[in-house]
Amino acid sequence: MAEIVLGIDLGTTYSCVAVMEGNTPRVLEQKGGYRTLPSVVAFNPDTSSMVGHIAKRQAVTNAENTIYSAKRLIGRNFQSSEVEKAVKSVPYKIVQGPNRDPRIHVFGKNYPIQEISALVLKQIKAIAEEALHVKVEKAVITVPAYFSDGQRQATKDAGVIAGLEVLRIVNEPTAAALAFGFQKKLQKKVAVYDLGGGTFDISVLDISSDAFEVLATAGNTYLGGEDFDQKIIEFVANNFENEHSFDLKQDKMALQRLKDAAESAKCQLSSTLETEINLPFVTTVKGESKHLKTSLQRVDLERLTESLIDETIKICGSALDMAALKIADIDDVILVGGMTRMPLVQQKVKEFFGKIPAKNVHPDEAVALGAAILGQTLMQEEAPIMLLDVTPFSLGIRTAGGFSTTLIQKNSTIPTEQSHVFTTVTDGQRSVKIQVLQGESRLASDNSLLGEFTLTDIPEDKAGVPEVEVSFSIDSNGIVQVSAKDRKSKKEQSIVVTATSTLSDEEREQLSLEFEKSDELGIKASK
Amino acid sequence: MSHPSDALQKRVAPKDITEGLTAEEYFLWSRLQSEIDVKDLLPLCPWSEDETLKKLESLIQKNSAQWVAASSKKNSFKSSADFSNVLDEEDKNPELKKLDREFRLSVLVKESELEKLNHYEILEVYARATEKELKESYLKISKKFHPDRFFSKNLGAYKKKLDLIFSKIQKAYGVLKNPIERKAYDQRLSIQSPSPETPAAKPKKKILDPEIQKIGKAEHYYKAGLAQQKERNYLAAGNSFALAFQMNPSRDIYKKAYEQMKPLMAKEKGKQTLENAKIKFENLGASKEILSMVEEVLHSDPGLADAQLFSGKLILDLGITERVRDAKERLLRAKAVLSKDPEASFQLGRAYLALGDFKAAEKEFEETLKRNPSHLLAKKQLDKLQDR
Repeated sequence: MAEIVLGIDLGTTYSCVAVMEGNTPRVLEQKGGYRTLPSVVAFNPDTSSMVGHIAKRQAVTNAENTIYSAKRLIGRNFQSSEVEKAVKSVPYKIVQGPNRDPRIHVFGKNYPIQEISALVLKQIKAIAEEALHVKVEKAVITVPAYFSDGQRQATKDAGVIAGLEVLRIVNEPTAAALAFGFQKKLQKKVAVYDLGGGTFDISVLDISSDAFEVLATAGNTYLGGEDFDQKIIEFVANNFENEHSFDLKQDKMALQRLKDAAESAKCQLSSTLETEINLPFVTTVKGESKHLKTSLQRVDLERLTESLIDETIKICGSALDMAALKIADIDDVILVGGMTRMPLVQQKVKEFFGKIPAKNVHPDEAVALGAAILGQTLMQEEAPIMLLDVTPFSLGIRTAGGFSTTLIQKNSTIPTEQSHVFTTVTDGQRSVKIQVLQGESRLASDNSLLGEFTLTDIPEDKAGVPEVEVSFSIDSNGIVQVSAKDRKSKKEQSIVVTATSTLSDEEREQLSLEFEKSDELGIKASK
Repeated sequence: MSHPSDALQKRVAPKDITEGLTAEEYFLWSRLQSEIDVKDLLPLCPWSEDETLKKLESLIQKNSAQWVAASSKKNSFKSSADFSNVLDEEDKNPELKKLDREFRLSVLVKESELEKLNHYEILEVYARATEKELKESYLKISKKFHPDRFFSKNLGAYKKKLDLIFSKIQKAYGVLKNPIERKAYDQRLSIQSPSPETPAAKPKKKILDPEIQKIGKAEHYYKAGLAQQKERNYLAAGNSFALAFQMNPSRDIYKKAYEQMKPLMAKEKGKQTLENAKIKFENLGASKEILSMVEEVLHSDPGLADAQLFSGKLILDLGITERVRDAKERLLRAKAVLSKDPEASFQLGRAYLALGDFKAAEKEFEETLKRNPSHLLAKKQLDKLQDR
């Protein structure tokens, strides 16, 4: 029997796992028949943890120690605007780690984000092993197409910490397209609109039978269902403040209850026109208990969130432009992600593409199913399908004068490699600093710095004479490697760019050892 | 030529003599452009392989074309035999042996050629390939050399080789899939071939008097132009001569060479204009402007069957009744040259229809269906005529 490979959709709010059975992918259910797992981790004072539904259920009473939406933080820089935003909106504490990475402070300990995601992945692995009654080690994990190098690297690290061999990090919309077109011998151009809990992606693919070619991808890694929830929270909290002169967001428990209520109200409004948010004893103001009871209409929600949806539509337009396609060229539109259940999202997508989205795709499960398909095909003697995916950002290096010289253009098919010869700018210069940049601007300062290293011991010479060859490569996981070589001395240096991934090798190893230990303990206890 | 399959290995180049050629032979001659491999020539012609080879032979007998040695760069490619030792050695390694020997050979051959191949050759298509052909070949080649193809096996050193080949394939397709970049690349290709650029580009470090440099450059351009002229790349040659004349107006031969090139350039430009007109037509539909573009081309190159066909079609599409006779005239000639093209007879049928000659129209639509049995429009027209 071929080796089992898990297809894991590690989502911002929910995760899902699938495997292949023969030629059909299947979602693995948990006890109780759940098909998705909340990506929530809660800690107890003794540092033991809970993951999934039980963690989510106890969130209200343990808000400060319950971590959700780790995906919005993974692989980011503590000083980035996204982390800043998160610090303001979550009840748990985010602090700065040793490498400018965000870490989560719980019961006196700082947890790297990778470790939080690893706990979710470990739970997923356990679910799969229980459902299949065998040990599984291999996995394909999905990430938003618009994830940067650092975010991919960090996600892969989380997999390794959880004891998984990560065969591939694959883009979520690509995986969904795979689930849509696998073994159907299609000749179609499809657009995958993926609006999940935390991120938005649009990918345009050309499917020719068993070849899946991504023509272009675009997105926003900080635009998803959580932002819709946030709009409701602010709306309700504002009304409450007007009435009672008290900001509910100051009360952590109230905020957590309101967050849960906002999410469920949002979901209900996809099928009804009106719903009620009812939170008795939500808080106490000057010793007096206050209740929150308000009705919310679908039109309210639509008015609050229309700008978010319009933003996604704008990004769809730019993806088509990059693919050099007209709207009419798209044969099918696929909707993925829980947020695409919202009627206004469906309506706006339909209006933009002039098409009713395909019906035979499950918005919560397609991504995991596609990952499982990819996992199985990779393990076969000869891969029966071909994925031609692209890199979402341009990559370059900083050159004299503060400019950015692009080496790999965005939407280049991966894996890819590219090299360029640079030189020194002053006489007798012995070293050059290589700064790796990601982004589309011509100015280095407008792009984000992925990492840097210095090539030293260049033989002394006049400015412009030494030849330094800088090579970039992006592997099939979308992970970047950069090397620089002095052509004369043949001295070479290379790095896997990890500036934002922030776990050193030792640290990662240490963590996976700890996990293994706890794994052993777990098995002994259950005997 | 003893055996037709021998001919497929050969290369052929046109000569300047076109006297006494039949219309079909002239058509074949016009397809030769500069040197071309016979196997690449076949898809450009509307005839069967045998017929094309026969016509080619007659062309050579009439001294309008000649065989040339397969280009030297091709000869320098390694053949599979060169790798058999490497492969035998690898077969001793049980991990590598699991990797199909045939596959390893194709990787080694491709890798050894990479630096010498142009974008078309990397993708294994001929330079006139349509977008569809290009894409098909791209997918085929990508699949063959995709690093994921044998993911489950230990690829060893082949991992790096595949990454490199795959990367080059993507780069080549990245250029050719974009019509604008492809055009620019085509122009660069034709200038590159005899590589007259290198001698001037290399001695960069020597600093010369700018005037002397100019004279040297002019001579260089002139020589490049001569090489391009020999390659029948008249547009590039004309430009080179013009540049030479501009750099050093005191030498008459530059000017003369340029003057000589002018009519040929016009012809060449005509072909390009026709291409542009076709692209415009595809994007915007028929218009009088496109028609006048095409007629401009016909004016400078009246023998161009493509232009005859296209202008005839445009007249009919635009419904210019007073010019239907012109259209018929042109389409008749186009049909004779493009003796396999269903479009030529179909358009001619339309012209007869417009002139009220239903019998002749019927005949042409029948002919269209003979040329392409699934020509729906012809079928429809024929049904309509037979209903009358």
